[in-house]
Amino acid sequence: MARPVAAPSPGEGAGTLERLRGWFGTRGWRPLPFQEATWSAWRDGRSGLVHVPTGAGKTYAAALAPLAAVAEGGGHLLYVSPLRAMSRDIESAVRAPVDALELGLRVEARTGDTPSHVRARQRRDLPHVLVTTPESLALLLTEPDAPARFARLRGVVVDEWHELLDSKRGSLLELGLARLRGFAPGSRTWALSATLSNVEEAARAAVGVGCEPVVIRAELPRPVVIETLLPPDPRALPWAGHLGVTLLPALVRWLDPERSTLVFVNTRAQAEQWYAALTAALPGVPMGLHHGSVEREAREAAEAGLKDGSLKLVVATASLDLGVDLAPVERVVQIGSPKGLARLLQRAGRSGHRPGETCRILCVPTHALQLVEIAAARDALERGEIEPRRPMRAPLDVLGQHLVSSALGGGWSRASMYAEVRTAWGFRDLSEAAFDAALAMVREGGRALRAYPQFRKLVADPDGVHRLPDPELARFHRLTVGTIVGDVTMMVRMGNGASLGSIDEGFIARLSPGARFLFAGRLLELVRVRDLTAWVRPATRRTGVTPHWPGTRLPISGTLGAAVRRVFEGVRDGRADTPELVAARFLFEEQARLSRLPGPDSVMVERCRTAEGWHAFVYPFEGRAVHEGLAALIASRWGRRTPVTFTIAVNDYGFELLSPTVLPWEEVLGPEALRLDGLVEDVLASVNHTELARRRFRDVARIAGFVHPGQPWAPKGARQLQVSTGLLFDVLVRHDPEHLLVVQARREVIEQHFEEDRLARALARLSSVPLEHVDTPHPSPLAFPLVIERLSVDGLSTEAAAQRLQRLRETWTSS
Amino acid sequence: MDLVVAGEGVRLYAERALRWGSTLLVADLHWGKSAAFRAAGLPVPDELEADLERLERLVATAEVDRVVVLGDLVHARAGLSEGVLEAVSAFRRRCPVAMTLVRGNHDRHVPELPPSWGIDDRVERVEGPFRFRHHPVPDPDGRYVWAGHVHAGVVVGRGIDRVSFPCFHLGRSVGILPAFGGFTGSGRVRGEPGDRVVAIVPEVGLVEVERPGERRGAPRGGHTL
Repeated sequence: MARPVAAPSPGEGAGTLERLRGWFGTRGWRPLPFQEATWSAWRDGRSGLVHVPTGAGKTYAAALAPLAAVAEGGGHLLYVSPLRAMSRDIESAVRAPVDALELGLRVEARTGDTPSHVRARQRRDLPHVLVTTPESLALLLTEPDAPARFARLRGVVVDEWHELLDSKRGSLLELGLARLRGFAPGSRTWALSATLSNVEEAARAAVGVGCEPVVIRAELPRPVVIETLLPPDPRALPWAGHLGVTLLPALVRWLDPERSTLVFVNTRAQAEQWYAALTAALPGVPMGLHHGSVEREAREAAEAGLKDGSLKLVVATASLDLGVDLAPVERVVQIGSPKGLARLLQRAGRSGHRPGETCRILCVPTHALQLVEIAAARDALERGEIEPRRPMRAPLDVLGQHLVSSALGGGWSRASMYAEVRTAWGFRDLSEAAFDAALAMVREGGRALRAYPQFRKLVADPDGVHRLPDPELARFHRLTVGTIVGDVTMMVRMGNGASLGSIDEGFIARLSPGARFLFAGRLLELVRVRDLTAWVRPATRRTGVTPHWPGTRLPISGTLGAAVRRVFEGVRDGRADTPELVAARFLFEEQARLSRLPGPDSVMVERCRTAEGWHAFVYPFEGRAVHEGLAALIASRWGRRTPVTFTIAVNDYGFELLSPTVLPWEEVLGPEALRLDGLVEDVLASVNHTELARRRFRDVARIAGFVHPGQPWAPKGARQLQVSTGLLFDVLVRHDPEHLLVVQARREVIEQHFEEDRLARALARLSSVPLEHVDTPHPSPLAFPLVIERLSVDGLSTEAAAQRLQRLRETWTSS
Repeated sequence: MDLVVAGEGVRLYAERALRWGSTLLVADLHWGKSAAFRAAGLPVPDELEADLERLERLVATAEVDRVVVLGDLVHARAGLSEGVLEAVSAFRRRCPVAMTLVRGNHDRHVPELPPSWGIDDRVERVEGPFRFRHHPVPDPDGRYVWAGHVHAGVVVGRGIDRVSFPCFHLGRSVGILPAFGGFTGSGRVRGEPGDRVVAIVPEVGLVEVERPGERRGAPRGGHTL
């Protein structure tokens, strides 16, 4: 078991730190106050968080004091970064002073890309400084001698903590950090984070329960200028749509092929379309495309091209939000609404590379209402607003994985493991019953498998130490470590075997051979599908469809939604003075003529009748997920009183209820519909929540190790163990409706799909302000995007499965 | 639901079987599938007992004197645990109806079925106007083919509303049965005009769906064999 190390004496490393200061001087730098503060907090034995904009010298703030301590007293430092692409930069940044001062320390990176012989050497002999990813760290923790190996750990630095914090990657890392603190009780944890609003909580999540974190803020002014590309005639902007190439000619005029420019879009489909459009409009300009489904080599080529200046224009999605410093980038463009303030700030920060330098971003609205969103984003950033990122609450699938990993990595007894897990911030309230259920799940398969005593995964020895003795199961487990679960995708290959990337399997399933589509910046023709590979060739004819990737439509953040509401209120009070709002004046005038502008102390409900039926449009400005929940809730509560089929459409601003018959809308949207009690039950009763949970279960099952690691990319051999997670879900529900993972999937539907907290707050607000009902002759500019939404994507409905089938059957029969 | 196929009356059961005269047709039972998963360390509860009881009840209610399995009776060799062997033998003692297996791709994992099961083992069979085979491939002699293999299923609805059901898919020359096994997924039928698709909707029963493949922007669905 872990050898306890003496807590490092506070003065340790003082001499080396002084030399490191000197090294700073030789580079012409002076330690910034936040760097000095971090070093001194470290030397006081503290843990904490450094809250600092990217590119401000945070690596040295976090790494130098522990480096000095390791140089003098031995031991190890772990530096965890969410992006493996960045580990090389970090490695060389840390190595620079180590080499210059001849400290004689080994500084190495270990990621999924590290060759196996290097990894084997690192396993035998841990480098003094190891730069790694959360997933590689989780894998290290499955090694049998992990407790001994990390016993002399001095500290862990977690970079870009804000990127991990609110995801399962963050939860797994929290558990891993708790485990490391158990191995080396004197070790310290330092997180580095860019701007977020819940800094205190982020710090506590990093250092764990029972440690009072130090929060160090670097006050580094980094002015951000947000500009908007305005069309000569704003009326030319469409009223809805998110791909929108209306402003392409204006953007092409604005772009300067001499100045390196990064064009951000929100979805992969949009990236393909803008890349194709820009390539056609600017022949001869070297251009790159960067999104999560493009082959890694192509992505790396785009990054390298930006860095060395050979590419002047790269179209990218969030895949380039983070990552290596792209110093030559001079200009950043955002197509469509950024949907969140942190994202806008992050993207703007890809230009202007020296601390203190102004970052600029040009926003290109794809429809008229986005003018309001851009104005709202600028206003909110000027007020210093930013979104919080909340750690997840005890995801049980992650816990299951961690229990198995830890059983491999030295083993554990029930009581000590329960205590250790609860020191991870997200798991601090984990009940003993939930822990035991997780334990039962990974030991004997849980309640569903009570009838199969021969099934055993973890085995407890006579001393109560749980281990995983079966080497084959151990091998499988190591293949499934981590929480990054991709979509079900298919490789896209050319006839000569060259791979172009991966594409959503469902998209390919809809195409037949000969169909053309845009992918990886090319127009391709599907030749055939075989062995989970889509074989393609360049298409000759010029038209095609763009693939759809699931789950790429981001809802507007609560913070930005509130800012949009505020802008409308300002417009209603006659304040429309920014260029965007001046350009959008026609829209406001039309809105005011047909209806009203949303006001400060009420929520507007527009009602109208069309050939489709009776519509009510409600505008809470809370983001699409919340609106989906609100609309489903109202529809189901009314439906309980009077049977009626609503058709529902949602977007980021509001939702539409469409009824085939006339309804008393005041009553439908009355206090009874907006009750807070029974919120969760009623939302779930109103949608096909089993289907939603079944879809959530896909990731849950994989993270918890319920899916054979071979699939779905399994080469032949593992075939007999392939199963769709949907089927697994059905079987588990039949045998144990309260199965831990089924419960987890349901919880995610409530907490994440419907954003329960936000939904409850929205409901509370709706029921506390008056609803302002307005009758309009036809849908207003605000309502129009909802109508489009409903027509393009099937809305929700409140029908049961059989009725739904009946209705669909009618549409098929009549088509 | 009663239909006439190739001039013969057949009855479809929501329990995922078809009766023709005194013969019951079922496909893709995948006995021992969950046991194979457990053997690989994946904690999957068992559907076998429920499947065997359903088959036993069907034999009684449909009043048939034999059962023809259209392939994939067993899932994998690793799945034939002692528990599975015993459960099936007990089922055969309770339900000694004549059984014929038309071999499917999964059955090759078990070249010899346990004798205690008393199951007659063939590659294909021709009976009356029908050919029984595992793969849904038309018969060169023009007989109507009854097959399984694809775990026929139909997906309806889109987005949040999407649901999928196992189904019977009756084409011009091939009829496909839904997978009988409770631990089997369903694929998606690709119908041609004129095909009949009968979905098995929980708590509702058999519902005929017309021309799902023809629907514009057909719903997306996973595909699992």
